[in-house]
Amino acid sequence: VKFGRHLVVVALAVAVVVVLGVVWEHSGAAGWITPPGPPNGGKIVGGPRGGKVISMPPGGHLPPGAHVPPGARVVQAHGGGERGMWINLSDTGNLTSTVEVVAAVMAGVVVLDMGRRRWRKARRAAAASADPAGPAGT
Amino acid sequence: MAQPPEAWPDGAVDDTSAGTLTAVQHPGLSRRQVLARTRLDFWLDGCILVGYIVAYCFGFTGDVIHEWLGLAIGLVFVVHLTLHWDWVLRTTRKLLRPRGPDKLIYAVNLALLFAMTLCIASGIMISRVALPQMGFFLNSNIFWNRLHILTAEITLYLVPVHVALRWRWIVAVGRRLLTRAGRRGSR
Repeated sequence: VKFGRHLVVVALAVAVVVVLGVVWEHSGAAGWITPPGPPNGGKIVGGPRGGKVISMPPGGHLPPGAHVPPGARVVQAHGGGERGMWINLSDTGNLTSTVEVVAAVMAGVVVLDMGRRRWRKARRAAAASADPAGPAGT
Repeated sequence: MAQPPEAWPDGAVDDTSAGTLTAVQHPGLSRRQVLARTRLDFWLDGCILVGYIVAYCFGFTGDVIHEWLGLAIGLVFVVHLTLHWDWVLRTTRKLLRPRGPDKLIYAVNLALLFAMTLCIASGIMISRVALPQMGFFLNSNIFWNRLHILTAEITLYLVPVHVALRWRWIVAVGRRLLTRAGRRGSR
């Protein structure tokens, strides 16, 4: 019961964040992350991953009765390009560099945390030696 | 110094989000349930970390695995948040205290909530494989594409910070789980 109650609250929190994202999209602040429009005042419509193209894996097909929105194209992607549909074992460098970044950030945080703990311990020890009766009185 | 979890009284669970092994009373939980919950937290969090790293490398995974793994991470992320909601409530109440603990962890976790939620939501919006296969077609634009890239980058740096701020808990529980597994293996 408690898990269910918390799940509902978490779902609401997640929904609030998503709504904030939608509000951002429709506000002037969307320009912070989207490139400026062409100089002739035209509009950029859709993107490289916009909803106009539906890629299916090789041999894949849409479920029966699926409605394809007007103007959308369904294409069969065969990989081989910069970004394929399935695992690309020749691109393990991508994975190892990500692991390196994650490990480096983790190591940095652990070193900082250890240093902070040592510093606090030393400060506490110095305070205790300067005033041996201090902690007993509190 | 913190006690090992075996020495905690019934109903005490380790405060997994605080980065230390702190016993927190949870009436109604037996020691066996507490240990099961600790094990669940450890392996679930490990799966999210590994899953996120793999999903981030879409040049390696390809679109199909990237999108389905991203959706799975979204579900596990909601379960992770739900399991730690008690910590969120407890820490929020303590935030106004001048020496309230966990302020840095709270700030990192809040930023991660925003970044990861927007990353998964924008990933759903720009999905080319998983959602169309389920019969859903969303009208996305370049904003969601950019947002997905931006939040994925931010999440990539926040996730290791979030994990590393609890390194003492991870080391303590990992050592206990692995030594127990080793002992069982040597029998």
